[in-house]
Amino acid sequence: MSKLNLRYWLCQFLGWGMFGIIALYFNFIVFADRWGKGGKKEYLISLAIFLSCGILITHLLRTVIKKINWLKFSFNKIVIIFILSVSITSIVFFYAANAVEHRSRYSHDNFIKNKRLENAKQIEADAGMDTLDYFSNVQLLTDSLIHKQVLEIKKSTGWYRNKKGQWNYEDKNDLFGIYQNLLLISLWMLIYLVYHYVQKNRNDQLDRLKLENTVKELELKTIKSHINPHFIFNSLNSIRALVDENPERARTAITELSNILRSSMKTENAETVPLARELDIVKDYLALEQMRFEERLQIELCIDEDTLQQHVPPMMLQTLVENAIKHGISKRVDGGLVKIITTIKENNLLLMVQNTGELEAPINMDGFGIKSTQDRLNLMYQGKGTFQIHSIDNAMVESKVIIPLA
Amino acid sequence: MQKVLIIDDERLARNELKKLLQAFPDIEVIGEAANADEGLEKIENFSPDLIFLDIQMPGKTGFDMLTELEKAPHVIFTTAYDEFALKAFEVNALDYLMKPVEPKRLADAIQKYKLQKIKKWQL
Repeated sequence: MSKLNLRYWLCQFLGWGMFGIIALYFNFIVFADRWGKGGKKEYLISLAIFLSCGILITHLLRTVIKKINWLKFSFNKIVIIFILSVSITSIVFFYAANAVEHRSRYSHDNFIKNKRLENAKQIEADAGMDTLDYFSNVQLLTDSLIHKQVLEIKKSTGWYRNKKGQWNYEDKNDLFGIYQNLLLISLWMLIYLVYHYVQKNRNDQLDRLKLENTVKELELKTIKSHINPHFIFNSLNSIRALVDENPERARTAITELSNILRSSMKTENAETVPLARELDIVKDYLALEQMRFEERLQIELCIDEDTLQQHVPPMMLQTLVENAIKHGISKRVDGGLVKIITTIKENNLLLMVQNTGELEAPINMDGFGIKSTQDRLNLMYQGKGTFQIHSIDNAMVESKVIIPLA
Repeated sequence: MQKVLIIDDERLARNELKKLLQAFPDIEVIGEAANADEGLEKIENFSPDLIFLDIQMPGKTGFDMLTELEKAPHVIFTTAYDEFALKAFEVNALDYLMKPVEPKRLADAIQKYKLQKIKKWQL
């Protein structure tokens, strides 16, 4: 049996069991004095039959619900089907349970009926009417004592004599029984529906969360391992030219490129790296870019010693430097300056990358680099890390990351 | 002799291409340019038969430069990545080479250029 089915049966037995316990509580503890004339055994067996029928019939109802899969229906349709199914089920429930009970030897209904008949005969005898054949009288005076007595007997016991003197029973409990079943089945149905709606909702939410997480992880992975292919192939091309022109420089360039490729593969699983290590990559990267851009690229580093051991998200500074070159230097015929500043201020680690150039207005804040840098900071520092881009004195653009220190 | 102009913003890339072109005796590199404006000027002055053109350059891109030419020479694009390949053929480029350039691919491209030239004479 699957886990879900197990839970279903557990709820079934618990629910009906609860109903049984409440019935027992009222009949045997609150109204314990009602068993003066016996009938306990009959009551218990009838209750058991009732509960079994309840479980059976609601299980049938569930089979139908599952078959037509009406959790997917519109709200209005569900309400209509709800009312219909609950009514039909409770009526079937009532008559099915009664039929079974009345055929058993220990029917509580029959027991009560018999007791009431005895009671009726007793009242009749007490009134001295048992010797009269009052019932054969076609017209009793409506205000006569006997008429009042007959009505009284019928009212309190349900029994009356027909004209031939045979006792008849008028059962007024049918409607009451159906009404009680209606309430029970409605309750059952409500619990069933609410449970499934909550479950469905939670599943939907879970699915959505899972999806969001996957997307986020994917984005992070891409940005982390994101090394511009232009950069790789341009570097390789420059290195090939250097092999003849400056073999020594070509050798170091190969080492630098290897370092970058290796680190871009390695950092994928690391949450943070020491700034010193990130700076090594950035320096290699800048050295390679300088090999390509030559005198068009000037580099300035302003590194605070205290920041070197601080932890930063891998490839974040690298992305900023890449952007500074892509949007700043490479677009200018005369090139320009890239300046990296790291410092600690008011218990925050500040990483700043400045480059010659103007802010493209309007800057696209949803651009892949900007958006993912913001998302990463939000994710890692619970909204306390910030990222901004602004221009300083019209000739320089600064991107700035603020990371809270633990 | 076919006159060739190289337009690329990276000196090393230009050098590398020049070196590769030394293998073709009937090709003469008559000049080089480091950006689009310089390229336009040299095309006007030297009227080359064939240009090797980088796409991403400071200021104007290679595509921008081509739109400013009234009568363009044959063009072979050289770039590091293939994201512009489709656009390159839209502007009737002879070929599209990826850096670092494979000598065999360069030979094919030059062969293509020569065939194109012959076709023109025959017409």
